[in-house]
Amino acid sequence: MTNHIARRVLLVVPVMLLVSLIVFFVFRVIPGDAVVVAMGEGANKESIEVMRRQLGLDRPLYVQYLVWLGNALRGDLGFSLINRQPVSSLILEKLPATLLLTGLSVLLALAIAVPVGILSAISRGTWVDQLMRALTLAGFCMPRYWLAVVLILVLAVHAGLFPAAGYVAFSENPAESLHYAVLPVLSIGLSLAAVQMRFLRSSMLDVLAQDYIRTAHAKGLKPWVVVMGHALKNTLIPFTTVVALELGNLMGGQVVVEQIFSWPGIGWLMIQAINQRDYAVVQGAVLVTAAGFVFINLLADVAYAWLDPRIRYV
Amino acid sequence: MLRDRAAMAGLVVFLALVSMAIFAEWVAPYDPAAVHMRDRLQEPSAAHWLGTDELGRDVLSRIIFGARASLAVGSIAVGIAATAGIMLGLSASYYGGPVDSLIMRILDGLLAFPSVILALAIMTALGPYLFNAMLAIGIVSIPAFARITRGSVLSLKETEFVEAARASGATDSYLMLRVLLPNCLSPLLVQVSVSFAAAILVEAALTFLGLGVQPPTPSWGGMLDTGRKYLDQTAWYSVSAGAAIFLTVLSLNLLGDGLRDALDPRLQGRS
Repeated sequence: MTNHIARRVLLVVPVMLLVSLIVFFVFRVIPGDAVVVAMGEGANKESIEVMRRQLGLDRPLYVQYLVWLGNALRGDLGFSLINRQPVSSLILEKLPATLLLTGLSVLLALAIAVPVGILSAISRGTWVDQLMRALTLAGFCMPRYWLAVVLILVLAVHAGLFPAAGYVAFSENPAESLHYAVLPVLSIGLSLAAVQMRFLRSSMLDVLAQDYIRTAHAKGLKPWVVVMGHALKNTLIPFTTVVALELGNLMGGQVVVEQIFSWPGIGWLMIQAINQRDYAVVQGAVLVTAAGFVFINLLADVAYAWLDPRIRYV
Repeated sequence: MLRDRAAMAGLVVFLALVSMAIFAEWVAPYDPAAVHMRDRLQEPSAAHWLGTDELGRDVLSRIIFGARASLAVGSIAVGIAATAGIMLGLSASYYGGPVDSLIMRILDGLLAFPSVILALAIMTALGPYLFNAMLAIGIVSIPAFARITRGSVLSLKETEFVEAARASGATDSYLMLRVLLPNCLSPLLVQVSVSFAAAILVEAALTFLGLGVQPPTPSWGGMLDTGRKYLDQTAWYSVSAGAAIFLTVLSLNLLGDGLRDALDPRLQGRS
């Protein structure tokens, strides 16, 4: 198993290299000079040249890439010309907000998806199942940002139960923090739950059709023991991979939700930076997000290998 | 598939939406750009079925015209993705070896990004224009098409009819385009509806963030965003735009599910 894991970890290297290449070159395509933008159109031609040389923008492209990569590996993601702050520190500032939102959303989604998915699978064909499937499809197709707007409308504007926007750090005031987090977490968590439920249901149905389940029933085990003890474990293993993959979509959807609720996370930072033409920050944020996604998938693969005994003892 | 009611419903709704977009000038009750400042932010009424927006423009008309932006972006993005993806997939699986490795590694690199983030990055680089949105969303959707094509071709490559064609002197391009590709069409067709739905969602998100369709062109994402600011005055503005997106995505998904069920070889022979 360690061989398998080691190989999987090594695979991350070429993927991250590709990711870094894509990120670097996408941002080099930008028309217009980043330096001119930062210093203003009327700036002295000579001072622009000096700045360019200082930032290393006069060197050949591949040299710039290697320098940038080297810096990135050491945690230096460049300097934000607009905010006058290193990009890495900006990102680190915003990371807790994003992590709080992501973490709570995933927990909510799992809390809903697992029991409902199981229920749906075991009551296949009944009205309970049909209802679940209809709700899941609706949740799957509903844009998160629309759900957010509807939630704000109902729970904030009309009922006044929760704030329509804003953020309080968990470390400052946990109760307030959670109060502000309810609507954003619901927006993301509910739609995530729909996606997870779909998968869990079909995965569980596949498992329940297996021979060893029939054997378990034949042995006289109570139905719920069969489901919880045998079927569930085997369903959850491929499920972890799906959860990890969905986190990628989560990160994308999160950008819009952060914007709606003025939630100062990395997605929000990215949008601000785009509007301010602060390309160093956008580049850094995209790189960090992609790296995070790659890392989460790696964890999921490793967890999969560890959980599945067929792979564990190979 | 004709017997699958949900899928047929999806098809009907989608076709209705497409017709609505094409014949918008005849379907919409008002000019979507007509400003009436005295009638701004009204609730639905007999005159304006979905109310009016912040400039007094009829919401219903703007939603009907908004279908054009979303469907245009969706179809062109999917067109780009399918063309490029199928070409890459065919080349990778047909030529194998280093070509295959190179193409698959590039696709892995693309897949390592959450789609909205990659689209955002590309839009940042290229600028907030409609064509760039189509290009960005298209690029993001390429890997799915490439992988499906590659998978199907790999399983078909060694079959007898392909061998026979090769033996009778068929050129590479003939083999790829006339022999192998037609046999991959079923899963690709399903992917078209799935990618189309995803493209509409991503386009709405980009427009919402200010990077897609620019005002005053009506678009669902833009209306959802602007309407947000006036939620306390009229909810219909935002909610109906979102409902339009939801309905389109739903119909495409139902269609895709139906196609998948209909074309699944394991289920064939039952109907």
